[in-house]
Amino acid sequence: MKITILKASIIVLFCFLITACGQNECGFGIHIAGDQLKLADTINDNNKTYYLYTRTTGWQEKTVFFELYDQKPEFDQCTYQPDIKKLYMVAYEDFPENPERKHIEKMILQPDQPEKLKIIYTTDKTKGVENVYDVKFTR
Amino acid sequence: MSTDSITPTNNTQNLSKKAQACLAQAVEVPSAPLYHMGNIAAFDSKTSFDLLQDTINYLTCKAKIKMKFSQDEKEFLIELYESLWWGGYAKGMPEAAKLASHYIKGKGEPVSMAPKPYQQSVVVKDTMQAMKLYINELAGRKEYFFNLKTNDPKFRQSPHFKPLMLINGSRNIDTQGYVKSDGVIHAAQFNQRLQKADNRFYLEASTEKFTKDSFHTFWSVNNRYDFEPFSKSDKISNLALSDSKALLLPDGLSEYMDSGLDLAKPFNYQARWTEIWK
Repeated sequence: MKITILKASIIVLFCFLITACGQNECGFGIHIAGDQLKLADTINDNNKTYYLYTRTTGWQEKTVFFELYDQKPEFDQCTYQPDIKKLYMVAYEDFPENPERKHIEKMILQPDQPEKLKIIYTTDKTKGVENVYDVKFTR
Repeated sequence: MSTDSITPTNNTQNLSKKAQACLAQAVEVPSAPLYHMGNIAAFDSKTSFDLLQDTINYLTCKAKIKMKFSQDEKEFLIELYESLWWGGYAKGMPEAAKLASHYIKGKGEPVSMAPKPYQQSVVVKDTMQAMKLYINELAGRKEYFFNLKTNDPKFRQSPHFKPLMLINGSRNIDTQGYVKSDGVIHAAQFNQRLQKADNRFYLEASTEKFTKDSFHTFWSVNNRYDFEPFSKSDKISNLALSDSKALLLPDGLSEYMDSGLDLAKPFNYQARWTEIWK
């Protein structure tokens, strides 16, 4: 009984802390199971530096996106959105339910094309990158 | 001596080394993670943050080599998930909160989910419209239209499907969402309520004639709530508790709560709604 009361008290205190007293506006909970952003690679092309980021979203079913920028972005700590416009965004086409897990063989930058990131997949582990977070621009 | 007789010994030695490495990171598991999470959210407490993250790291290390967990360690994980429920519910993510809670309390039983996040989603509305046009065509040709799923090959080849797909920026991933060529619907990324509850799914339609000119459709989404194990993925959830502090919770640890600790169970969930349309 004492343990239940103690736990209830902690929960009430917890709710008070996250809803009333927060120093930040980011909130708390699953909805701020924020996107994960990682700088995967940079490349110089025609005297311009391009930045390739991975963005992982979702909770139990995550999706990894590749984002392309032509300047180094700063990301908002609450919304995880960039302070500049991204050039291109494309999803990593590999999901757990896919029996033939695909790997990225090439990540080709083509800034003058509508498809600014051309991704070539392979089912051959020896040719492709197995871990999506290790993907780099093809040089 | 054959290599077969060497390998188990080496494996045992490796495991032993890994176990020792884990134990070297051992921390005193905090008895009230909820309190510490609130403390970080409200006061940006570094002490509470370090305590929670060190504990998660320690438990992750143990889970990766399948070491036994103490009762305190198990309770810590349960409370961590309970805190997600409280936080999610308090901040307007009731579906995601309900699913996370059901993972630790539902014993693997199927659960129904409110349809509202799907019904309000741009990509779901667009997909429903495309499916209705396709169903209408099938009915006009007196072909089978009673059950249709977004992965149906003929539907995916129809002209109604193409506008749902993402072709060189034809749809906005953040505000509209899109449907992949295999029929999987991807929630708009800015639609946090749906994205956190169900990031990608198929939509199904069971339709019957209602009147001569109208149809009655039972829309449904059927999906499974589970996590990828360490062996398949190194995905991590980023739990931002304050502007500068985010706890990192590996999906593999959430999966190990089921496969290794019997603290949680994957389950099927369903959302359903109906519509009469012409």
